[in-house]
Amino acid sequence: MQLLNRRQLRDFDYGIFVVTLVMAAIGILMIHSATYDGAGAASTLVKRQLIWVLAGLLTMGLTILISQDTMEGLAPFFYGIALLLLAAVLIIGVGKMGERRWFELGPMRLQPSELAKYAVILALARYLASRKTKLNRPIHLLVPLIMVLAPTALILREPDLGTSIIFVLILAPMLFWAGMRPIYLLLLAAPVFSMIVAFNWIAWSIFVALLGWFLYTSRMFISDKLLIFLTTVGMGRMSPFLWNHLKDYQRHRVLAFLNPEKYRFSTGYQLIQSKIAIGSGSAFGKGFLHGTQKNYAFLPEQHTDFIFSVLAEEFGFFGCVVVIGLYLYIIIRMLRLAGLVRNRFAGLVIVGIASALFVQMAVNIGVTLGLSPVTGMTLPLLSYGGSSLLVTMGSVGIVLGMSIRRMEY
Amino acid sequence: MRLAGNAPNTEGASRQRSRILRLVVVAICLVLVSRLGWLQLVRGRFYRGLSEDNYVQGFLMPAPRGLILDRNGEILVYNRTSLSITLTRMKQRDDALLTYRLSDLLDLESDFVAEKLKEASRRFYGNVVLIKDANLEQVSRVEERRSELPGVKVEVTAVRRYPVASLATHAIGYVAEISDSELKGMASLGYRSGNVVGKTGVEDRYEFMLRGRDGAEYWVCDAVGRELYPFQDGPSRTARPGSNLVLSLDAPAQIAAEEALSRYDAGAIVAIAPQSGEVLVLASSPAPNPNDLVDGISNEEWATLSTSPFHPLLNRAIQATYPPGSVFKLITAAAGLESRSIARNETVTCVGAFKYGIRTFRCWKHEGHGVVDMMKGIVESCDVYFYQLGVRLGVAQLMDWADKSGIGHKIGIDIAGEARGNLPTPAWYDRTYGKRKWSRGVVLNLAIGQGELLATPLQMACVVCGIVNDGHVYAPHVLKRIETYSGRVIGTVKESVSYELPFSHSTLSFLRQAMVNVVEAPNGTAKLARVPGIQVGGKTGTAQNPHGEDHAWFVCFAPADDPEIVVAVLVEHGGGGGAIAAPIAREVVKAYLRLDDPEPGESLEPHVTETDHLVPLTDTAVRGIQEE
Repeated sequence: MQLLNRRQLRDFDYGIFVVTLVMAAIGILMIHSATYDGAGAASTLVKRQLIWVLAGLLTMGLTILISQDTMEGLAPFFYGIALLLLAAVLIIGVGKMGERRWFELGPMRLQPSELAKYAVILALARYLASRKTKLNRPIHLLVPLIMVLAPTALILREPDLGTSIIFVLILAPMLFWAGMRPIYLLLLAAPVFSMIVAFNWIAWSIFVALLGWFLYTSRMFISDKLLIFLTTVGMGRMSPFLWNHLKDYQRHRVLAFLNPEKYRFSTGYQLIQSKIAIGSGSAFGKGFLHGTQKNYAFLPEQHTDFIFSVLAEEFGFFGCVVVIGLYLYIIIRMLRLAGLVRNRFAGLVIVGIASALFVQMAVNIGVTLGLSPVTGMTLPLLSYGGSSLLVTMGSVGIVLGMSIRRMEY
Repeated sequence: MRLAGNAPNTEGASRQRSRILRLVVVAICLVLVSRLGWLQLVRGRFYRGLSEDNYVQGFLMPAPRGLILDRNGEILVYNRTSLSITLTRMKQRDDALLTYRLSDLLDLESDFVAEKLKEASRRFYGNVVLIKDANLEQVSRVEERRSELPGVKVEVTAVRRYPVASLATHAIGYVAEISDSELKGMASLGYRSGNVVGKTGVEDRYEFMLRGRDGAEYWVCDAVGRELYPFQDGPSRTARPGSNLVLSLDAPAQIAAEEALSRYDAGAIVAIAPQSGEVLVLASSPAPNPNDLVDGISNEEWATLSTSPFHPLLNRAIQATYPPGSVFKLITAAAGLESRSIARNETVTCVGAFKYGIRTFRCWKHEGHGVVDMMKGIVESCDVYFYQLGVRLGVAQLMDWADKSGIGHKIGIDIAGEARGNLPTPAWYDRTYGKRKWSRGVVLNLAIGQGELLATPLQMACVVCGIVNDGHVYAPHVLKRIETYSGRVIGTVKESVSYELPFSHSTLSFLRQAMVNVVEAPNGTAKLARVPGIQVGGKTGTAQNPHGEDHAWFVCFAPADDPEIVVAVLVEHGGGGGAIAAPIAREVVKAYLRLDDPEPGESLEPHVTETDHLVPLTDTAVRGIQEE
């Protein structure tokens, strides 16, 4: 491990670094607004978040220093620790309404699922980077699937549907990056799609028939065809059964998303209030600290999951476009970097981190806009929350570290 | 086609994949941005309005209803302050918890509280009353724990109060919560569910005057409904109190009338100032206590009220019809004179009975009145005289004059529900019994005010008003003038002629003289109506009815030289008009003219005992048709 030389200083991605800090600063401002009591003083939450940002910077500095070889070597170890923590949180964790999502360490809360995201990314990257891995056989996909599904299953038991979805959504771009053809990715998604259409018997029959015809005419191993077809049919048949085993509030969220007016006094309330907050922001917003929706406590979870609604209400369309633009800037830069780094593992890790960032951002904003069911996902860098901020900044540090080592194989 | 497999893994390939991923990312961001644009730019105004609805709550400031006063400025109806505990709709609220807290705190059935909360959640404007007339303990309990009771408020409301319960109830009416069917017609006038509206009497008739205009206040509220500060940009306005009604009713006379009526099961009194049509007394007995009706009564209580054999909800003065009995002889006599069927001095011999066809019609005085002219016929109420006159007039002609005298018509008093009565013309008999299926003999009964002829006490009072007022019958009205809540007069009711009696001056002055003799002459039937110091004119009537004791009638005017008051008294099943109804009228006249009771031992007293046995005889004798 060496300190930065001149070339590394040149290769350091200042853009990502600066914009990350800007985002964290915007986050603090929005948390201040969301928790503002009108008296002028900043709330303790703002001060705490400030400390978390400093801690995040420290983490970032550390992760920059770790070389990618070390990281690749330690990936299985991280992965094991993450699984252990996820298992442990099910036993000694705490959360709202009987959930077990985080450890309580004095005033701090640590959410192991946040850490697990990045452990899975590293482990996946290591496996997919390996020359021995052949992506042309579905049987070889079982390993990454299990790598993803093991922590997903544990997180689902917390239960935390939202976070578990991220894992599945990270897998696809990483497989794509590793070289899997898009059409093949679509076939992988067939079982998931099958679960959704299974609620309409006719649509599901048509879907299965189309899939069968497609598989029949395509040139694949007969065993692979059978595997894909059978999992698709199986998942579809299981779907209503799984639906019935969802928790009441989870089913509620989906139903409320599909019909918020009907559930406007319970789960749909958040969606409607969020839409009102965002819409009423109009083009230029009501002004910093002047949002009425959040001022009078109509917005639920406004400093965490619905921080974007506060932003949209106070800064309007243009404020939102700027923030989305900043996210886009970080993610595009990361993806570009992924195409430039020489190390295959590093490229996969960057794609994974960019995907995690993007998926969380898109789903969180999608929820506030009423485009997605309520998932309980935070807005990375902006939402209040220590674990999320710490690991997000740490992951940005990993990317920055890889940016300075882009020429290394 | 080769679907599965690793794509070539070169540097160019990763750049290619990077481009594809960036494209996907940008595309999804565009979806988010376009959704934002839709919500914020296209629908921004709509959501801005919704967010104002969200944090601004409108509060209705009910306008106090106008007062109702009598002609002397005596308050008949006012509003008392009442504290009530109300529930407002609230978006985010644990109703189960609130139900538990409220039922615990206020010692209420939790089912009742839950029901009210459910009602409140359906009401998008205004609130639902949980406890009406809450006592101070209940109020202070709620105020102490207000932060734990979102949407629960203590409200000060004005409740209609009738200080002298039942006084002039049928004229004033009462108020109660608007019914669903009323709301359908009145919603466009700004009425809302839960509003209180006049149901009967002047409360109903002058609803729009009394109502005023509700005010509105807009407050910025937080999500649990606490008011933070007034919202400046809202269409706030102050409440404008309703106008006060000054009625023409005279409270002392009204009280005297109701006291007198209360001695009997049922009856009605109408008193009118003949020169203006101002209604001085409008009493109907029995009467409900309007305060009970205002507070809302239970279904059982309502059933008791509406099925009571004495029908307390019926306004007998204008809604009930009775045969007018001998009072009607005034119209028969006038009709005879006007049609020149008979002359004043033309005499008829009464032998106690009159033979018409194969039937004999009795006079109430079995021994007969002897030679009777028109004056004696009226003063002594000789039936045989009027049988003869009736025969001369015929049904058609007699009913035609009655029709012109207002019988069978709504007079047009400013209270809803007036009855027409019944005017049995030949056409009516044809319709009812079939052509030629009825005897011309009915005219004998009609001539003395019996049979199918029906009139309201108000109609008979109006006939007398016309007699004393040169034929002009002014439209009777209970309202005298309207004032603002501060006392400025907005409008005064102008007298207007409702109709004219079709009788000449000489006929009318003859009738007045005859009526004075009824009271003042030694052989008159209404000596009990005498008021010391002034002359009174009147006419008794005893209306037989098949259901029991006769109805007692008496109409009068006083003072005779310049009448200030006309009174019509009806006592259901009271017996003889002279014995029962006449003294009641006297009480009303005395109360209105503020005449003190005569010294005990006046010359009036012996008369009473003398006529007491005479008058009941008189009236029980008038038994109408008696087959031989």
